[in-house]
Amino acid sequence: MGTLIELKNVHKVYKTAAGEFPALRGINLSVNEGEFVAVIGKSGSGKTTLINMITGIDYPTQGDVLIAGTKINGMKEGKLAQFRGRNMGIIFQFFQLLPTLTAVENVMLPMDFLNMYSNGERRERALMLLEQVGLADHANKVPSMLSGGQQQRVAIARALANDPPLLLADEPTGNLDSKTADTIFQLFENLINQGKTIVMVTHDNDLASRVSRDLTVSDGEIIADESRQNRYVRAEKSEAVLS
Amino acid sequence: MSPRWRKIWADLTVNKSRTLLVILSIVVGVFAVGSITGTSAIIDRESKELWQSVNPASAVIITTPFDLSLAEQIAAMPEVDTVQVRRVLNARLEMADGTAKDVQIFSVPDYQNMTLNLIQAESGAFPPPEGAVLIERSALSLIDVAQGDTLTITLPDGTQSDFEIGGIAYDLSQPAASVLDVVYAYVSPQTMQQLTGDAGYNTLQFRVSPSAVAASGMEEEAFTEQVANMIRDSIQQQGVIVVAPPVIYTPGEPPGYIFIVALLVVLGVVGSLTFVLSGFLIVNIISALLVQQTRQIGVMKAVGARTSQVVGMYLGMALFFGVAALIIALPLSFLGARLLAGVIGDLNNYKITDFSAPPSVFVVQIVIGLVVPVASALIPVILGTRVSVREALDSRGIDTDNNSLFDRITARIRGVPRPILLSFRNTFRQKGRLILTLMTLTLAGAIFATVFTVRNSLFATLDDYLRYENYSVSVELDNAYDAGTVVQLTQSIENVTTVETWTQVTERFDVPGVDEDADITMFGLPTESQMILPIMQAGTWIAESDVENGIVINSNVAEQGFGVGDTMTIILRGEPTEWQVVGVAQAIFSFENIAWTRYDTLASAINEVGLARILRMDVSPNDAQTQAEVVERVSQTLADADILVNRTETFSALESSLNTRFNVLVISLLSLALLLAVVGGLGIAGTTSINVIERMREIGVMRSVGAANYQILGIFIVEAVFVGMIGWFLGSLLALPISKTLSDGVGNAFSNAPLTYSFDVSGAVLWLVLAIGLAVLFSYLPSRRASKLTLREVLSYEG
Repeated sequence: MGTLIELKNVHKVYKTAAGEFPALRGINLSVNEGEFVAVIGKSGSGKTTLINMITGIDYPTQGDVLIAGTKINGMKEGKLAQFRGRNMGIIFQFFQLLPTLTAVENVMLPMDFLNMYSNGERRERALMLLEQVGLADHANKVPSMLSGGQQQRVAIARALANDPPLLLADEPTGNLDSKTADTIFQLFENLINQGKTIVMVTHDNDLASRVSRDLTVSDGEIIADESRQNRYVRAEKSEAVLS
Repeated sequence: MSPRWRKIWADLTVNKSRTLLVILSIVVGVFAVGSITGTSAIIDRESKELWQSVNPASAVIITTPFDLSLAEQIAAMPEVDTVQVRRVLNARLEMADGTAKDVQIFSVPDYQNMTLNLIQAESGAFPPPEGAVLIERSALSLIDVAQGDTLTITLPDGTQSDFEIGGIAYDLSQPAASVLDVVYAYVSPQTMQQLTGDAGYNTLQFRVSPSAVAASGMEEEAFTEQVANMIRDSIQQQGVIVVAPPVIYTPGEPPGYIFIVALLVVLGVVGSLTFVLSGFLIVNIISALLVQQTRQIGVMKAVGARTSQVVGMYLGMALFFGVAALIIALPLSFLGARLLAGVIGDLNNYKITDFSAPPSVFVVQIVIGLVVPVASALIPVILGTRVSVREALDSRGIDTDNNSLFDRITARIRGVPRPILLSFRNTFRQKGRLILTLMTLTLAGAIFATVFTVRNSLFATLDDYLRYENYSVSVELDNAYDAGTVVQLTQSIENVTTVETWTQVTERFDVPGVDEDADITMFGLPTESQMILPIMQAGTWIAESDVENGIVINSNVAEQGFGVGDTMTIILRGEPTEWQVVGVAQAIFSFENIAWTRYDTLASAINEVGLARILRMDVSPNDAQTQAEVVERVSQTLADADILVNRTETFSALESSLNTRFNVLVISLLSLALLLAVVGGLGIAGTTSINVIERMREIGVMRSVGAANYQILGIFIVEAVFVGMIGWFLGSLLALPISKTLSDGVGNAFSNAPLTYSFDVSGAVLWLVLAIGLAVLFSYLPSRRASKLTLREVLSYEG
């Protein structure tokens, strides 16, 4: 498995009215292809800033961000948008579907911007992706006619539109009930099984426990980086101690 | 349709009223510009073609009667290419209702072989048969007659003759009959001889030789003027008197063309400003849309859209506005151009048959209809889409973090009811939006008030002119007659209260620094005369001056280098005479050089002591009917005494003729004011409704904390009133310099002097009512719509 995401000594400092605020402090991180990574931490810990560094939505004050070996910080905005559209799918907490487009049109939009697939194939592919997320019957509905869970599934289908190897999700279940959140998570697991790499910010410790690796962020630093295997070992040790 | 264009289409259709507002504002702009450029193109092409088709003369000289040998002599001059003569006889046409109208009767030696300023057959007989007249086509709108009818014409000597209307003629060299309120009639040379008793002609039309123009190295118009002066001197030496300054035509341009150009320029300037207003509206609406859709822009960029693609989408939207507007505006502007060209054509006696606008007019409309919306949208689109994905996704829609000095000051205001305070602070919350809104309102208000002020200034100038011509009836005699006899004959005529006798002469004066001298018309009038009330620019009127040879000149003469105290040399009856300028009076609606002096001094200088050439009278009651009746009685009385009348004029006819001339300008300006009101109104509608729509969430918050719908409505309406009043105030201030400049420009174009500036308060007040009314209405409608939404809908509203 090759390295898909690499952050080297990434710092991010925001200048606010109250002074400078360091959101990330010297983050070093590597994520391999096929990994399902959860980023956990309290509000204001720097989770979203971290994921914004990976997506290129925000840029580091210091350090480098490499995606599939390409350094994205310093890349021109237009080129970065195209790179992101081709290589990453982003899923937001509040879905962020365009309200005036139907579900299938929302899914077709990234293909349109990236000029991927022929015109006829775009609709076909969008419908296929909606079917994959269980929403084929709702393809022609605008977002306001869909529930929160349905909108998030459309957002996932949209993130998959250009078949990117990497999916980044910022609190994808934060606005959903637990049953719907579970459905979304199952979708993510299916995608991992299909070879995708997912990095997900979440507050939900139960969901975090189901991923292959979890990163705990606090005050802009990764204070814990555990694989599922390590978690088992740690859990077994804890049980042994307790027993 | 691809998703991105589907999104733009949905944005356009989801808020139909917003889309309609923008499209309509562009429609009005394209219509205004298209109608005016179309009219301009039609008039330019048709009038010039028509003018060429009648073999236009270079100049016309009106004289006392001469015979054809003089014309042949002029035609033999190397500077002259062709000569055409006419006989003109001023008479009265008896109307069926007992009143009379001025009629000018023309004849030429050979109608079939005219060389210049051709008179053409319109219908019926041509040339005019013996004993019959042809009527000029434009007179048909003035008198209710038809071919075959009989006209009764009273000649200057009082004799009456009946003529059958043998046909209708077209004489482009004459202004439309309605403009001068004169009927034009054409008779055979034999009939004219019977009427006048002689075979002479009194109008000499000539065309300069193109080779002589080329050899002179001068401009054709200047060369023509030089030749006209030569001809004038030559014929005066032969005892023929030139009774008016020669009329020099601008080569290629039909009579009246210069005024049409001036009119169209004025209309074009105001029309173009409507487009500027449309541009402001587009900037406002696109800016607001982008603010509302900042998150959507962020999302599009997050899923792979380049900024250029997003820019393209919103510019595509602007382009759609332009295309949709063009579909509506193009046929409308074609109709507008047809209508305006028709009116202008009728007023100038241009027989327009082809109303098709050239392709260039459509190209201009298409280009501006597409370029203006896109160009207006460009900056807000670039600024709105340049936002980074992170900033876009963090956006809360509108900026509320202002902490400027102004905000801090408004935050300290106390003692004002809280909702009013909120309205006041909201007004200044989005300063960029407020500036754009105020620019729209200010410009619209300024132009609206300007249009009304120019109209008012035109009327004020007209009043000045009519005050200047402070008489009821003017009678111009065909020669100099004994003043005592004339007064005695006319003073006892029913309804006549006062009679003054004047003398008049058209001569030449030396212009300092210029080789050529210039024409001047001098009036000699009683010192105590009240029949002229000039507006003095400098010095004193002749009544207040004790200088024996003192003259008052008009501003046209003054512009040629004369001022109070200067001495002018005027050649009277071939002899140079010296005159001292004692005053300068403003020229009103006149390009002529005019001077006034005491009757005694002028009469003595031209050897006409005790003789009169002009009668000026007051009548009582001073109404149009009485004035017309007095003209009839005076003409008859004088004719009975063998005193021939050349021309008569009543104050009412003069007033009506001037009103007719300016009506087209006034009506056009008012039409433009209406269009401006529509565009300005759309601007107010657009910007105020944006303010409400943008604060949908706030409306939700206010309602969630207990605000009643009427309280929310009140906050927005008071804000709209604030904005409307500020815009009105600034617009009124801006209107002062703009309206002064435009009034001066219109005056200079139409009468060689600025109009009498008179700011029209009623226009400004009307705009205040309109601006506030529209602002309130278009705040009320969206806030009312917001009040009907559920709290959840309002809180989740996304434009």
